[in-house]
Amino acid sequence: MTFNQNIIDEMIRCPKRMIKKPLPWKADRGQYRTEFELQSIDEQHFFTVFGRYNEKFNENFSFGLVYFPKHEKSSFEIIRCNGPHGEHKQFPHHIYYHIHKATEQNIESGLKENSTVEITESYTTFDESFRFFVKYINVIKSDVDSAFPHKQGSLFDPL
Amino acid sequence: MIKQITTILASQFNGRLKVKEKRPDIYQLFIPFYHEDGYMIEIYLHRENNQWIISDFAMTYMRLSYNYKVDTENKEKIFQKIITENGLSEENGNIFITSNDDGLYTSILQFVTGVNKVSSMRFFKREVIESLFYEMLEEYILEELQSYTPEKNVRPIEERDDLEADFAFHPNGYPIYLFGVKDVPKARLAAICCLEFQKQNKKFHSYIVHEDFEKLSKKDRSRLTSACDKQFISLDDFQENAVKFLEREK
Repeated sequence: MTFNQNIIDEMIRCPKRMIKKPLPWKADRGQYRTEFELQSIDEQHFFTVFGRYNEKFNENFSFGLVYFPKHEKSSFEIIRCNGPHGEHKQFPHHIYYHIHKATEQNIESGLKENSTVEITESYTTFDESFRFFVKYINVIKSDVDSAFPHKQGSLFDPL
Repeated sequence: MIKQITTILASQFNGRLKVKEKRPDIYQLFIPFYHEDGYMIEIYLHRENNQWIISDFAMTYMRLSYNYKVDTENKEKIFQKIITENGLSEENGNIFITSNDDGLYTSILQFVTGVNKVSSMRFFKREVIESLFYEMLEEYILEELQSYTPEKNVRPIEERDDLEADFAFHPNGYPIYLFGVKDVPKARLAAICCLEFQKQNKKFHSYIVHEDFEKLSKKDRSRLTSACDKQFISLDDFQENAVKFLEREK
């Protein structure tokens, strides 16, 4: 498909419903992982979300949204929120919480679609990051609340 | 010149090397080796039994898992082969190599090379491999079916350049038109081509080679079944039976 910035932005921000609830966090070779599936409210677009955090360094975490275009065997990681795990080419010598976003320019240039990053102050913990992420990608609140009820504990706790 | 290169590189490498304590006695090394998304490869150093352990604490595996699962025996074999052939070890996702002081620089480069190769396993994704379907079909035809004089991109109706068979064979007096089909649009185009050729009263037989017959909808399968003469349900099926069928056409 022809991917332009408008489509990418629309896919990131379109309202989404959770069609498959998150799997409980599962230990998998030095990391914890979960996944769930989303569909746009108009039922035209399908997405998966992955969540990961490193067993040794909990601050090394990721929440990513993957878009699967219809009638095409391909997928695009269109946004990923990360913890401060290392340095990026764009910001040498600094380690930040950051967001990877797919851009038309990256795709056109043959780069990895999400190799552009934005530094963020929108979250400073794993839990905040997840809340920010699901709000940013516009998962309807009732689905989030039902899958991740507010509680005293952390998202690190088993679901 | 050699001196100049050495001086420039030594100064630039030194200038780009940094170490930070990540946890007590675990140090993160920052050197300019990057993943495709622009992030530095995670390299951690700690001491054990008077040796350096250079490791990633499973960060490579975690990164790979964003869009690729090592979830079959074969994928696991490839994963382990990459690790072993690059002189690395793996325990619970943690990729590491041991070194003494003298070999530290070399071991770090070896580690980075291995980690990069593990990261590249994402290219083994089914959707990437499947995109090679047409190339694999062509390779097989041009290498194994040469005796049937395959012709590529054949237009049986001269004035219709939109109706093209991927290959034509001539085992007998009439041609066999072959279409590779890996998705719905191609399935529909192949059906249209066959019907149009029939409308023109062309004498031909048509073969369809599917990437995966089961993936098409029932309607698309019915259309193709009605329009064409023979379908191979997969590339494996074609490779196993193509010669038999072409022989029967003689």
